[in-house]
Amino acid sequence: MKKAPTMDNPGRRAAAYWFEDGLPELLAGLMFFVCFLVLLAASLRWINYVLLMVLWNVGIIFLLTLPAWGWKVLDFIKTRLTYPRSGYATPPGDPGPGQDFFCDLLGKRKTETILTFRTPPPPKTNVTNFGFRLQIIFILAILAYFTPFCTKGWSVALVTLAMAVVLYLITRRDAHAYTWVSVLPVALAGLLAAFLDLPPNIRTIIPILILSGWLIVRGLWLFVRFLRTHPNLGQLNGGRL
Amino acid sequence: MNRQLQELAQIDRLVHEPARLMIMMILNDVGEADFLYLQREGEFTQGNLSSHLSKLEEASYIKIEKKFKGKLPLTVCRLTPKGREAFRSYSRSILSALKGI
Repeated sequence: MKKAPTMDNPGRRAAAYWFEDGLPELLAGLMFFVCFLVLLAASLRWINYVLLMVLWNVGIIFLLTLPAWGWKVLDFIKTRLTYPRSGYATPPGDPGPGQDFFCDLLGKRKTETILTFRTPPPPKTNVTNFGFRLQIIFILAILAYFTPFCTKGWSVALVTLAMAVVLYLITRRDAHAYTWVSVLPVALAGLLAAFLDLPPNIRTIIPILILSGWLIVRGLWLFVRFLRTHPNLGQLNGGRL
Repeated sequence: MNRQLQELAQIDRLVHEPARLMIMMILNDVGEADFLYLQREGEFTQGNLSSHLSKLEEASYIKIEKKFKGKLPLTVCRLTPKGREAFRSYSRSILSALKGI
């Protein structure tokens, strides 16, 4: 059995540190909630087809470019909330496994054995592909939206179960991993939603609502915990260290 | 005497000190970090960290930069190429000496 990655090395700790305050999840959750509202408006025909298509394309571009600019937005917020409390370290790279693959293929990654706190896995796994994994989950939820069978009640449970499994599987070796217990609420919420008497067009967007709700709750919980455990040292020390 | 053991006698003592080694290992893996992060990670006191950072800076192993992120002043530390090379050379010496154990 493979040993789970540890947090012993500074690189992985720094990558996990980026998520310690819950802000990435909170913002991703809010973003998905906006997506849910747009799809809800479309399902209830509150907006016309042209506006829907515009919003849809903007949403796709927004999502595809998320890894490129998402961390800058977070960095802006963290500058005001996180760094004064617990310090600043370089944000973890978020290249996605594709880039890793191409770097390996082109032989651009130079590795050398040096003294380090690291235990396997190798340095490249220090990055945490948060943007990438959220894209996968979101695509899964959107695919469900377009799949005809997803109007059935049991399909909500099936889609959320798939989302929970994918979330668990693709993050289990990340610096910021989700345990099976932490993704269980996603699957359970889907199971619960399957028993609700909802119109078919609303049922298809329920997985997105569940995903956004899960991310927001998780992000808020981490954020409150972070604020409680890290007082603002800058203020306590009269401005700065 | 074994060549690897001879190498061990010539290791860089500036890097060899545990607290400074810890700082260099953190900076090597993280890239750059501010004073508060290093203090938290290494569980240093302010004075202790300042003193070790000064020694590393004097040797040009690290670069300490005061910069602003928005309105927040940050004292950011990072390894210089010379520091990275010193750290790698130290790692090679130690690892090769300990390989046979």
